[in-house]
Amino acid sequence: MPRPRRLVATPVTAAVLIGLFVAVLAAAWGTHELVGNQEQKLLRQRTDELGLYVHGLTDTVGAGLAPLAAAARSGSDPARSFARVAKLTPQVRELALIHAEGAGRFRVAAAVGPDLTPGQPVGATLATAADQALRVPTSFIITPVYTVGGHRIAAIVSATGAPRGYLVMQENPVGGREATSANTTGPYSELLVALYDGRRALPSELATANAPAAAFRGQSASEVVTLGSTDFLLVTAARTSLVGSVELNTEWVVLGVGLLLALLMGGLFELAQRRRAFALELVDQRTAELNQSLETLRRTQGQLVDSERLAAIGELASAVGHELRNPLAVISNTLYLLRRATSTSTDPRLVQHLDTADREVSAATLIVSDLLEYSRSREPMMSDVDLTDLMEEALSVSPHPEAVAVDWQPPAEPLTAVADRDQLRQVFLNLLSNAYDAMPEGGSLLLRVAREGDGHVRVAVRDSGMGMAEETRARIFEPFFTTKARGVGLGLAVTNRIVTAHQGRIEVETEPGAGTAFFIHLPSTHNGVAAPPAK
Amino acid sequence: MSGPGQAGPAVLVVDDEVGMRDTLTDIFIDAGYQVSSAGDGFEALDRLREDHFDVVVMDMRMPGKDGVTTLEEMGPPPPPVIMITAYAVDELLRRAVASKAYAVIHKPFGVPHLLRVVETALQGAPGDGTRP
Repeated sequence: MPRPRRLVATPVTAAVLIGLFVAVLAAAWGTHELVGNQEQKLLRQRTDELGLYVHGLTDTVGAGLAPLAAAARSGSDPARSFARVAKLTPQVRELALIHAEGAGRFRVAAAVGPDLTPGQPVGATLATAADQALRVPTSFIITPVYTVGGHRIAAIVSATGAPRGYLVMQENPVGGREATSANTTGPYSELLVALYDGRRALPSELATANAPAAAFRGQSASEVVTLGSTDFLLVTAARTSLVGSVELNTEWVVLGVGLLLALLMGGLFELAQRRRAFALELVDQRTAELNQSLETLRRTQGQLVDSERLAAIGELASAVGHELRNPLAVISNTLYLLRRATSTSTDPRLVQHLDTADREVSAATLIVSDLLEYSRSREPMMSDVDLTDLMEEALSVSPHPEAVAVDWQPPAEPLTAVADRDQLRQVFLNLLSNAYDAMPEGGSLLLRVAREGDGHVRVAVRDSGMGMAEETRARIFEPFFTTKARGVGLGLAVTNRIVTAHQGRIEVETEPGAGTAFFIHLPSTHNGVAAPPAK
Repeated sequence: MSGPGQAGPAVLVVDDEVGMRDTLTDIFIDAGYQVSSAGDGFEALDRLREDHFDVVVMDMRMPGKDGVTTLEEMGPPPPPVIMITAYAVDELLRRAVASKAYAVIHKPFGVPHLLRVVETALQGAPGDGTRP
């Protein structure tokens, strides 16, 4: 039995799959956290390193800048002090003193280094000033902006060993000061760096609007760096992952592989479930089939018992039937002798009584014959049967009731049918008996035998009796169906069977209240050759 | 065929049942025949050896020697034999047909029909075993 394929997993499998998915997601999330922690750890480490470096550098520069600042404060030539500072700090390769002239204009006040010229105007911001002042892509640092003698000055320091790139100090729009890194390449290139003047609280905008916003996963680290006398907050964030792309993707690997494994396990589980269900179903099916077979066996056995019982009843009916025929024949003979002996009597009732007795013997004979024929149907023994002769015999065996007028006109030429004479006689007797019974108040019975064109003969038996309704007509050939008060309902069933066995056919015309006509079509003989079967 | 003082055709009625044998005897006497009767096949063969019969009307099933065997044992040429049977068909019937019984009549039968068949047999019309 083909079963429809299920595409939906069983509820158990679905639960298992959900469980596995949750576990995989948890593992991936755990991996994500682990990697994040590692990233944070690395960022903090790098920030510490950077902080130490910046601190160390500015300590050196700051030591040099202090006299510069003092000179600036005392009004002596800052350029000379500047040159001394440059000598004192061998790490400093270039040094520029920038005058902030207000309105966003800066000018190189003093410079040490191959590309710096005092008086050279620089850009509008400290960042561009640094860009223009230090054309060499090198490392440098800018000091805090000092206000000296009405001049706002800052120092841009380029130092050997510094990380490539620079930190630019600039005016913070929110009032503080900060340094941002730009164009950084090299060891810290992966970092976004901001130096914030920590004298004020770190504005929240900085954390969001600046480095961390563009940072990798929003992670940032901070470190307090003291440059000169000012504490700066060094805020860093990584542009890209510090732990490396492979490690970073571990969570996705965990998620992907985990999901695949979960699906595989779910599939295997579902397969096992289905195999189990299939096996159970198969067991159920086989059990049902077995039970069905047992039931069939039981039923067949019952039928066998029934059929044996029927066969026994058939045997009995057959034996009783044959035994009844002898006394019936003797009674019939006796009636004949009585009729002969009283033939001179003038009492009409006597003849009437004898007719009635003959008819009743005939009816009993017919019942016996139908029962025998039904219980033991036999192959017809064919011969040429003279239909006129047979009809007259049937009429003599079953004389018509007084109230019935028989219209029997034998055909002009002798007509024969290829038939079993005894069986055909039974057919005639059944039709006569039915016709008599259909006319309890009397009527007319028309009997005809005629040749048909196609090598067949037709026997017509038409009564003017009560006729039949359609429901009755549809069932008249069923065994044991009867509308009569007496009789077993085998007459027309046997008649139909006999006619069919003769390759003939029966037609019925009936109308309630108008009577019934039976037409029997039988193969006839033509030059001694049997005619083809009736169509 | 029959009449007072005239000897009608001789008929031998063979049946083991008294009722049938007696009624048939009366029927044939009434019809003007000379009738002898026998109660079984052996007796019938004895009668046939003693006397001449124009026609034999014989029950097909009898204890001892059945009608068909009796017919088969009749010396040639046997008179026309009309078999009477209560059975629609059986082996005896087939044998009866094969043994050239003149006709087979089924019980119960109409007496006029039986008389007609006997008369036909006496007239020497050919019989085929089943046709009256």
